[in-house]
Amino acid sequence: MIPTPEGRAAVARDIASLMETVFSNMASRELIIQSATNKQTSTQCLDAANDAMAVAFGKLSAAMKRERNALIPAAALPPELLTRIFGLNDLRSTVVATAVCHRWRVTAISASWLWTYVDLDTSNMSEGMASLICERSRDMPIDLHLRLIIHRHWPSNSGLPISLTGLLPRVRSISNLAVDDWMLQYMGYTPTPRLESCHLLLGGRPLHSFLKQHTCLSHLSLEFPGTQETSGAFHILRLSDAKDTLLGLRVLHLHNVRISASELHMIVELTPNIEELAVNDCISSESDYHMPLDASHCLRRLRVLSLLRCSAVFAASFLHNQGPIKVRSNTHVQLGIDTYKTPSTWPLQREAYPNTRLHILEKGKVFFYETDQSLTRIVYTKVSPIASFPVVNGQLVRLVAFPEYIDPSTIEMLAIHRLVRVNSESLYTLTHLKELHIDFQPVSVNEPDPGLSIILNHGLAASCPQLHHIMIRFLKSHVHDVTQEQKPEDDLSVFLDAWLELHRRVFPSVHIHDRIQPSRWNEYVDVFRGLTGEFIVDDRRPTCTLPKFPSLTQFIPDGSRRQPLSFRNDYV
Amino acid sequence: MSITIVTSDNEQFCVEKLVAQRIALIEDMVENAGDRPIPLPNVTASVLRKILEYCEHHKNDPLPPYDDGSRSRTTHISEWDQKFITVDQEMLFEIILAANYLEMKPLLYVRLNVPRVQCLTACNAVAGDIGCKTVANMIKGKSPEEIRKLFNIVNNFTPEEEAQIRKEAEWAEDR
Repeated sequence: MIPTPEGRAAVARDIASLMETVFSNMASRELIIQSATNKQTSTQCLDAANDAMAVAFGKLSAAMKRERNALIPAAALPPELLTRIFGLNDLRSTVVATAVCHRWRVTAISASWLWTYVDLDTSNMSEGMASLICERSRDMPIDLHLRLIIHRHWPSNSGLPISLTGLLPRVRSISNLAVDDWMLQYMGYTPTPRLESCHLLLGGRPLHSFLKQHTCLSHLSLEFPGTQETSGAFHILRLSDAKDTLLGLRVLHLHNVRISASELHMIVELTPNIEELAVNDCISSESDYHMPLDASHCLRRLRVLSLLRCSAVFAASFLHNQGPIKVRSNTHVQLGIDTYKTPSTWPLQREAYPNTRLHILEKGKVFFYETDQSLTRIVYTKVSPIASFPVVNGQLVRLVAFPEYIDPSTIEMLAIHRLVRVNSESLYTLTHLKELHIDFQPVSVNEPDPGLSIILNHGLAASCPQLHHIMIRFLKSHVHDVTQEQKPEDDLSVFLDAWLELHRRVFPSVHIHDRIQPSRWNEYVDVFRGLTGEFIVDDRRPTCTLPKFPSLTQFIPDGSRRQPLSFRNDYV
Repeated sequence: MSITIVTSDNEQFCVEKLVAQRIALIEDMVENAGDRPIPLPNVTASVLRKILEYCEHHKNDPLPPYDDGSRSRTTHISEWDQKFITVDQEMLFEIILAANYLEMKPLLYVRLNVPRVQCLTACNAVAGDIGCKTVANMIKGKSPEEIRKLFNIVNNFTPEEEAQIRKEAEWAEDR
């Protein structure tokens, strides 16, 4: 902190008195006088006097520089702010910070968490650096982030220094570790009792011996770097050798892996305690749909299932209500399929309901997928701490309809795929539904009608007897640019083309959060005729809080740095 | 409803209660102070004006994503925030210090009655954090000498430290 005037006066007095002692240094004076009288030791005397003066002057100069830096805000920030700043940059930057001034150095060195995330260019990390990290991170676990190196089409750890093995006993997580000979050799012989999380780049080497040796692993991510489709074959052979490790796994991510649904089924059977399963960007090695096998008994603990950007064939193997992975209640399923590549008939082929665009796998539980003309992802989130949504004694469904996963090059196709349909008939399995929230984010391009069509009818009243609250919100992040000749007061009609056949018993309240022009009030009151409860038109722009999918475990901590919660108490 | 805040240089600010509640320290003091003005002896008027400007602009912000402790290392700053924080160095550090002192937090946490612990985590995301990110960006990629020059810091290492730093620089060197 910037010192107070009183503090500064005290420091100044200290420095002045230090100056007096330096220049009235009696010992040095004696030595200088002695040098003239004693011929034999005169040079030693002068040297000694010079050294003593130099040391004393150094002290004085240091005290003055310290006082000067104390007046510079950057140098005088409190330690918790300094370390927060250092922690925003990489470890190399922290090393640089230790060479700026005394205070920065002391602060950076004393904050051991700054030294636990190792993202140096490890291919040339010296022995000295490794031991420095070891020392400064004290006893804290280390997260090691390696650099991806491709050697002859395979990921490789080539050039990783042996010094790295010095860190291994302390390592808690490694990312970008290639499964190659180096890894099998060094990781095999160095004990890693703290290793919990591993992000592996699959190569030509089998994995089972590595897994077998690291029984503490709870988070495992396997990835093929690059896009070589041929190299994506995944060796699951002999994985059963590592049964013990797989039993302990809680998180499993597969990324860009060529794997068949039956292979995945085998893996799932080996990992019964898995809580989070992500199979993203994976290609099925099967040409046709997989014969469904029920693995739901293996996935009793599954909380999160993510199937992003998988091939349609592959995803369909899951989507089938008798598919290999039958998720249980309270599971979050995240699904993203390239709608342009997905045959629009696949839900039909998979015995899904012919006319539903909203496809719900399990009763009131899991996910919604809209195919057909829309580019929409419809997400269901259960009330979670992330959504920070008030829970009203029961079930709440929140649909978010917004365009996502769109390649800008396909933007022209938006004109065709514009209407998002939310059909209440699709909600018929939600027998315990109490609240329905629909958030709609219109597309941001010049769209004649980025419309949302919400069809709520009597069927809903019958199928969701407990439903008492509907909320429709428009998340307008962009100003809608209407190309048709629309008057401003028609604004809402552009967005909402709703047929609400309201049932008194069912909907005591409807909230529409949008700006509704007074001229259109009557019209809307007409639409909501029959409403006995509250009708609130909120003129204020809603806060655009999209429900969040539970964030997947991060394996590649690019751009992130784990910071212990106790960091405020990190220094003494 | 509004409350009165008095800065260290004796300037009075009339602040909407909703805005002031974004500042944890003030919120605590409001409870005890009743109708009396709230003194902020560590904050000057120019800095408080700046901070209130931030609060005003962000008062309707959505809930920042729940922070599970794995803090983002991204040093990205939004456009408005960037403009807000384009100030001279002295002001930059005063904002950082004041935000730290005031324990800024997003308004929404107050309204949703999110526990205090979470508020404190979230306070990292506001004014002080933009300041920290700005300083981190200023440091990024620079040599120790350049950093000293930038902030007007002098090298005050002891000879022993100097020797050790030279050694470390060699270890950390890029190929």
